Amino acid sequence: MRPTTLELLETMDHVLETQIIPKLPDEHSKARMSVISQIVRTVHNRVRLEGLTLATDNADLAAVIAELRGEGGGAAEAAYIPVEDLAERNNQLKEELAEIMRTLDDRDDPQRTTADATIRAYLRRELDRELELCSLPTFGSTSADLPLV
Amino acid sequence: MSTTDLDARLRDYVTAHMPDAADLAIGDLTRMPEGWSRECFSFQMSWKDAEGTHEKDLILRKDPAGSLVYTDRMIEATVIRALTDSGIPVPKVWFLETGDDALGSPFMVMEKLQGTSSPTVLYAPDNTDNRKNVGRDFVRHLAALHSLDWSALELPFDEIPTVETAGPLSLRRWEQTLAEQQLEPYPFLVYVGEWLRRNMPVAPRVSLLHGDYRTGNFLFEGDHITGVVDWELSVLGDPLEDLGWVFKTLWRLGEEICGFFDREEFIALYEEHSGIRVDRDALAFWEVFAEFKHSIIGITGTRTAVDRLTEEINFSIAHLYLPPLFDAQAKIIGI
Repeated sequence: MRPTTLELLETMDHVLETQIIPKLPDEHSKARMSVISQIVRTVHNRVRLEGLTLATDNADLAAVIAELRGEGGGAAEAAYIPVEDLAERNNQLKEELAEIMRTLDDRDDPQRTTADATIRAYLRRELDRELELCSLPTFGSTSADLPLV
Repeated sequence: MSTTDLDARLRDYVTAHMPDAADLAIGDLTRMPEGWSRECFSFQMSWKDAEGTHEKDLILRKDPAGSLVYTDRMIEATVIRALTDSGIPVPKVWFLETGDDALGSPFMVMEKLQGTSSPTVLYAPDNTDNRKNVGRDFVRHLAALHSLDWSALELPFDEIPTVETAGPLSLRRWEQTLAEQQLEPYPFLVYVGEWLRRNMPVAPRVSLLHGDYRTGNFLFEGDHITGVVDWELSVLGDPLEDLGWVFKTLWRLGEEICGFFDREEFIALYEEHSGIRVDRDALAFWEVFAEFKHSIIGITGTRTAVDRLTEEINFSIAHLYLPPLFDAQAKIIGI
């Protein structure tokens, strides 16, 4: 899913630092915008580390509690899968699907028709997930409309 | 490059290319907000020669490091120059430079035409009558472009398609761009690419296409069009390819194509002026193709942003257009 969340945050901070802050008219505005830049970097850290930190801490906590209760081993915590790993796997699977699509015409009917229906249904589900992801929330009265290119 | 540096280098370039000009001056070099794909600047140029004192309003159109589309200024300038006497209003091209030495990247300098491209003015509620007349010009110029004898013009294209190869060549070009620009696999576009290959129509004729004909790419004043601009995607192909782009949902105002006419009214006007019959199935094909092409333009913009090839923040949201563009294709082909 490109750009990644981290790439978007890096772009935002880059624009603040290179295009916005230097052009602000006074030190007060510059200081405020620098705080926004710090918030962007904080969100960057959160996105990068929050899941791993919580998963690690949960496992740590469960082990400590089990030890304190005199329970051997304790219950296993759910494994954490970083977003980067999920994205890499997603790309592998999508490439695999694309390869199948390119050779779909080699199949005879009705196998081809069935496969086509399966692919179309998947593409619709995937598109609906993407549409939800790109539908911008509104905070306050800000418009969520995209500018016309 | 700062605007001050650009100003100085542009002045040096123009001075070297206008040896008979005296007291040559460049003023008011200003970056224009229009255009995602090229860096555009307006400026004034004044000089003296044997015929007297001159002053011109000009536009500098310069290649950025990264863009939505990678096109050739030589092709754009040559097409514009070829259309000078066609009846389609185009700006005069003053200078064309395909190298990087003068201003850091290729560029062209064109006459600044009268009028505006502002959608706010065009679509103002009290501008309905003017808008209809602008719409008639819009259809008339597209029809004139598609029906002109391009073989009589000096055009810069390497590939001359036939009615059978026009569609496949366009598809091949855009699939090639997708392969070059994508940062991740897009099974959806692979599927649509295969659909387009299976449903490819034969062109009614081979025409010179604009490639990005829509609101925003013409200037108008009152009730008429004063200039058709942005010819960078111009190519020889199926005229319905241009029409499919014109019919894109994104440019519509309600149900009106580009805010001018409803679907059938638009087609009737186009057929009347061009003499080209619009096969409805072929048009539906090219409407899918237009969304497919627009998706690839969005993917190119996304890569440009990720690779930090631009300072334009707009490119960072190019990816947000992709799901709606995919959805437009999905609706037409029944996904």
